[in-house]
Amino acid sequence: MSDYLWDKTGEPEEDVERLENLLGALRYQPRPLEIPATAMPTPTATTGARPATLFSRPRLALAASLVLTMLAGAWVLSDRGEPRKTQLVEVKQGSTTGRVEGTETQTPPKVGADENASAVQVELPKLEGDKAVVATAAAAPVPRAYRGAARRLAAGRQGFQPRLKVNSPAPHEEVAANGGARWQVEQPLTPQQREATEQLMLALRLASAKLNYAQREMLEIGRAEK
Amino acid sequence: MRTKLNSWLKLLCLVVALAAAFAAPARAQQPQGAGKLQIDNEDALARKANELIDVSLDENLLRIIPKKIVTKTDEGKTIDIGKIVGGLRGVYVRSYGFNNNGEYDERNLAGVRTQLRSPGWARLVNIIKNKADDIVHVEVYMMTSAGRIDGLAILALEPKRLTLVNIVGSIDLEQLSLIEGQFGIPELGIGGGGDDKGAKPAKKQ
Repeated sequence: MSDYLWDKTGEPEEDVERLENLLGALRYQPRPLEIPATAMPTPTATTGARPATLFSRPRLALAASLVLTMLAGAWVLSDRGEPRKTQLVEVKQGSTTGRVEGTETQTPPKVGADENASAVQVELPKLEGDKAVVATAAAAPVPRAYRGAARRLAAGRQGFQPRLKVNSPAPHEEVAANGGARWQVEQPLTPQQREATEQLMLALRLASAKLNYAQREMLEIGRAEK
Repeated sequence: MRTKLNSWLKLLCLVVALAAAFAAPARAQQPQGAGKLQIDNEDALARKANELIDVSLDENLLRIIPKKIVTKTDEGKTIDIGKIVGGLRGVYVRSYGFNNNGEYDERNLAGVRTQLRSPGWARLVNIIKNKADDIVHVEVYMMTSAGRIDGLAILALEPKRLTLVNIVGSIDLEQLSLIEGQFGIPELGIGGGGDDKGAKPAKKQ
């Protein structure tokens, strides 16, 4: 028996040679890999990435998150914000006297800042009838940028007048239909608002009266027991 | 890399959405009916009464009231009505005035008392004062949950006046107690006979 099947030495047998010739056509032949176009995966399927566009989903999600965060922040801040303290001073137009912060002056009050003052007087552009409304932003420190100007003003040099814009509306006083109740709001009320406010005041006053009565009686009982 | 970024963005969106949901006002989480009493079905009383003060302000009406509304006491103290109203979800008052004593009795209050016996309500004050055959009976009930006030109910039974007050929502009692006698109107003085002097002209329905 030859070693042909083992290491291809010696004489091959007839059957083996026939089979070798028959199967030789199927032997391995090195050639480059050819993948059919239909079996070729798309780039997105393999990487999971989408073609980058201006409004891609992640960018939209990021933008929506930022907008939501900003809205939530604005809402929180608007709720916690303290209303600006304002004090109304009425000055008659054309007159030579005016009253500012309870003191009589010989000339209408001018807009300006005192070097040592803790407040800046600002003029509101709003006119009500024949009265000009001047508001004082209480306890507002003199801004650093205006301190020089304030010093010059204090020294009598009128070369510079700081004018600040204040958006806080002037309080508006409302009187109830029965003439008794008074309250201040920022803007005049609509008829519906006025009706609702009057009803609320009446309800709160009644509730308050009953509560106070109960409280007084309890105190009296407590005293009597002592 | 992009997959990781996507995951982070999704997580961020989730966190923001959760934060927005939890940051919503606590009142929004409260059940709408908590603290609300049904006091508007006292037709029998309304027919007998010669005077009726009827205030019904639900949440929608309370919202149209300006938030920044202040008034001053006679002593110059400022009361911020806006702060009081801020936590409210309803204000309901029925005050019936009668010509004679005994025109109403406890049976007229059976419905309200049944509601006040339901869970959540607790009677804080019960004052009964017998003065020269005139009995004044004032009860104050409160509904609380998680340490906050959800509702307040006041029943004031006077010889010629019956008053039911129901305030729904969170209210500052200290601020509320300052309101009596303010707004340039004399105090109601309910202890002295029960006439609401100076009150708004009542409407008879």
